[in-house]
Amino acid sequence: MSVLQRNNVRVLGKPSDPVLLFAHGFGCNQSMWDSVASAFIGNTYQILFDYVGSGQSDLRCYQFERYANLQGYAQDVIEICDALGLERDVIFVGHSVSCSIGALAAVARPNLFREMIFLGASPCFLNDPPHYSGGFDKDDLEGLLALMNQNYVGWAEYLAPVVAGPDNNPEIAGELSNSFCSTDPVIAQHFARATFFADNRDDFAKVTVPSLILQHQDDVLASVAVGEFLHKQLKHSQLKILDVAGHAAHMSHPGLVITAIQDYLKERDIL
Amino acid sequence: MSITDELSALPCSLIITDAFGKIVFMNALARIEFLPEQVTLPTAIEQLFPPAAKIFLQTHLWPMLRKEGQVREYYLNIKSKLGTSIPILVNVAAGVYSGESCYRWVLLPAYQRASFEQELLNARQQSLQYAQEVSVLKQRLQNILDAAQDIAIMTLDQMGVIQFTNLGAGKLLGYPYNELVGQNIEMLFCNHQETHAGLLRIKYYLNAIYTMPTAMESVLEFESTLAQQSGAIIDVLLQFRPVPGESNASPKQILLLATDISKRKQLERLQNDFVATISHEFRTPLTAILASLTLLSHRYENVLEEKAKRLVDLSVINSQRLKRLVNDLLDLGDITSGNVTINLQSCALEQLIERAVNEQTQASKLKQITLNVLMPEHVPSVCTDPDKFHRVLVNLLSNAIKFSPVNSTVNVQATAYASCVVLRIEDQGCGVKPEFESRLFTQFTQENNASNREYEGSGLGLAICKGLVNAMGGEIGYQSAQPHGAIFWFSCLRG
Repeated sequence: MSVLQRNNVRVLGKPSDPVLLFAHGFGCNQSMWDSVASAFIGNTYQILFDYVGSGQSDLRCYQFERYANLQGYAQDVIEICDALGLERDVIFVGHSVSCSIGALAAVARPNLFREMIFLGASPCFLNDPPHYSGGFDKDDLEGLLALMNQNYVGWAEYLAPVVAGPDNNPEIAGELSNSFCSTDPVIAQHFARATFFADNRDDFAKVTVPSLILQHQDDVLASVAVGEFLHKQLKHSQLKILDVAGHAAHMSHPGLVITAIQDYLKERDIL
Repeated sequence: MSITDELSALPCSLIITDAFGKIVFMNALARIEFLPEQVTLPTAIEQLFPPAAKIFLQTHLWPMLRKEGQVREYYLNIKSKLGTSIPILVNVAAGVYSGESCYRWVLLPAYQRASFEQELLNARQQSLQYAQEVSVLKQRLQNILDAAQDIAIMTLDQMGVIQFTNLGAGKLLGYPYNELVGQNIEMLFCNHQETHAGLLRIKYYLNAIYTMPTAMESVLEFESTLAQQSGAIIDVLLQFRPVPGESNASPKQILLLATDISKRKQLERLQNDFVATISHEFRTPLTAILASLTLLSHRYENVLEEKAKRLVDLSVINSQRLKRLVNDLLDLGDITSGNVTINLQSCALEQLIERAVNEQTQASKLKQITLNVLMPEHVPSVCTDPDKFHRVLVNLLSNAIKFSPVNSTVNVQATAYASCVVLRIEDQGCGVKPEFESRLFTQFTQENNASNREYEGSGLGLAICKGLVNAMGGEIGYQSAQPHGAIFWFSCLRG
C-alpha cells in the first residue's frame, strides 16, 4: 500500500509550478477544497488528499496509536510530500485542525515548506483561563463526541437493516448511510479527541515558515481573538479577518478565500 | 393568505436562514419553542444551539449542506426557552425565500427517539464490550488448552463431528492446526476389527448421551489405535465425557481427551509376548503331566494305595487348574493384542441365555441356588458373537454362584434399550468392596487373599470378559445390589 493510495492523494497541474498542498479539516474530506482549488488550476501544482480515516482514504491503514495525537497526521503530510518527491517550497493550505497539523509538520521539516496558509485555525479549542479562551470547556467537547456517536455513518449502518426491515434492500440501506458523513464512527471519535483535546499553542511559536492567518469574523470554533493569539505566536505571519460568519469560508465564501490567497502569494512573489 | 402565514401555521418548527445561516424567518411554533424573548431577528441560527451542537453544526452540518444541498435526520440538541437543552431532529434543505437563496430548517422534537437511540447505543456499547471480553476469555482458554500439548483435547457433536481441537490434538494426530475441525471422528480410526469395536462403542455412547438424560454423568474410556494423517498408527487412551450446553437451548457436546500411550503399549506388548511365550512353553509339559496323572488315576486306580490315590487325584485337580490358568493367560494375551476373531451375527437372546444357564444348573444345584431368568416382554435379537457371549455369561454366572451363599437366588435379567440390550446378573453374596470396584476388570485381581483360598479362580475371568464384551462393541460394569450382593452387567448391540 503506497502512501498515495493510503491518503487518496489527487494531484493536478505541473510539478514545476508553485506547489499548493490543501489539507482538509475535521469532519470533512478533500472535496471541501474543490471550489478554492479550481481557481488555481493552470498556474499551480495542486495536491489534495484525505487523512487516514477520512474521506476515501484506506481505513485499513488506520493505526490507533499513530493517530492518537496530531503528530501522526503531520507525519501523513510529510510522507505525502516525500512520496511525491517534494523537498522544498510547498505552500501548505490548511483548514481548521489542519492548521495545527501543518504547524507540526513545519516544525518537524521547516525546509519542506515555503508558506503556510491557515484558514480558521485554533491551536487549542479548550479554554485555559485566565489567559487563553479556546471557546469550549471539556463538557462541551464531550457533548460533541456524544452527538457524533448518534449521527455517524457506522451508527446509520447499524440501524439501516433495522429501518429497512428483514428483507432489506441494499439500495435503501446505502441511501441511509450515504446521507451521513462516510467515516468510520470509531475512527471519527478518535480523530475528534485528537483534534479537540489538542494543545499546540507552543508548537505554533516554533514555526519559522512565513504564514497567512485567515480568520472568520464570526466563528464559534476559532474566534478572531484566537487568530490574534496565533498572529503573536507565529514569527513571520500576517492576519487577515474574513467578513464571514461560520467556520468554513472556503465553502461558504470561496471567492473571499481565493482572493486572500492570491493576494498573499502575489505579495510574496510566488504567483 | 400569504406564504408567510402558511408557513407560520405549519404544525412543526420551521426556521428559514439565508445562505450563511442568518435567520430570516421563524414560524410561530419555532418562536414559541426556541426564540429567547430578549433576542430579536435577524440572528445566526447557531445561536440557538449549545456549544457541542455548534461545533457539530460547523464541522459536519454546514459542510454537508453546502456539498449536498440538504441534510436529513440529524440529531442535535437545541436550547429551549427555559434555558435547558432539548433533543431535536434536524432536516435542512436549500430553497428560495423572498427571491433569495435560503435554507429551510425543520426541527422536530426527539425526546422519544433520543432516549430510544441512547438505549440502543448503550446496548451496542455494552454488547461490544461483552464481545471483547468474550474474545479475550476465549483466547485465554484456547491458550490454556493449547499449552496442554501432551494431550489432545477435542469436542464432538452428536454425530461425532469434531467441533474444536487444541494444539495438542494436531500434534498427536499429525494434522495441521484446525484441519481436524469439521471432520468426523471415524476418520481417525483405521479399518480393522479392534478399532471397529471402538467405533461401535463411541456410536452407542453418543446415542446414549443424547437420548438418555441419565447418561449425562457417564464416561467412556478405552484404549485404541488411531491413524495419523501420515498413515502412522499410534496407541491412545481415549476418554469421552459429556459437556453440558451453556443453556437448555444449546446442545451439549462431548469432550474427548486422547493421550499418547505408545510407550506403555510397547512395554505391555513385550510383557504380553513374554507371558504368551511362557504360557505356551508351560502348556506342552503340563499337557503331558496331566495326561500321565489322569492315566495313573484311572488305569491304576485299583493298584494304588488309598493314600497314593488321594495324592494323584489332588495332583490331577491342581494340574487342571494350572491348565485353565495357562489357557486363560493365552486367551487374555490374544484379546489384548487384538488377535481374537469376533464373528458378529444376529442371535436369539433367549437361546443364548438358556444355553449358559443350563450349563450352570449343576453347579447351582450343589449350593441350592435358584437361577431366575427375567426376560422383557418382546425379546429382541442381539448382534453378538455367540461363543464369546456364552463365555462371558457363563463366567459371570459361575462367579455369581461361586460368591452366593447356600440357598439363595441368582437373577439373570435382560433389558432392551433403543440400541442395545443390557444383561444383569445379580447375586445375594457379599458384593464387592467400594475400594476394589475400580480394579475389578483388571488382570490377576481378586478381592483378597482370604477369598483366594475360599474361592478358586485365576483372577483373569473378568479381564477376559471385559476384553470380549468391548471387542463386540459393548460395555461391562458393576454395581452393588440392595441390600447386599453384586450386580454385573454387560451390554450388546441389538441385532
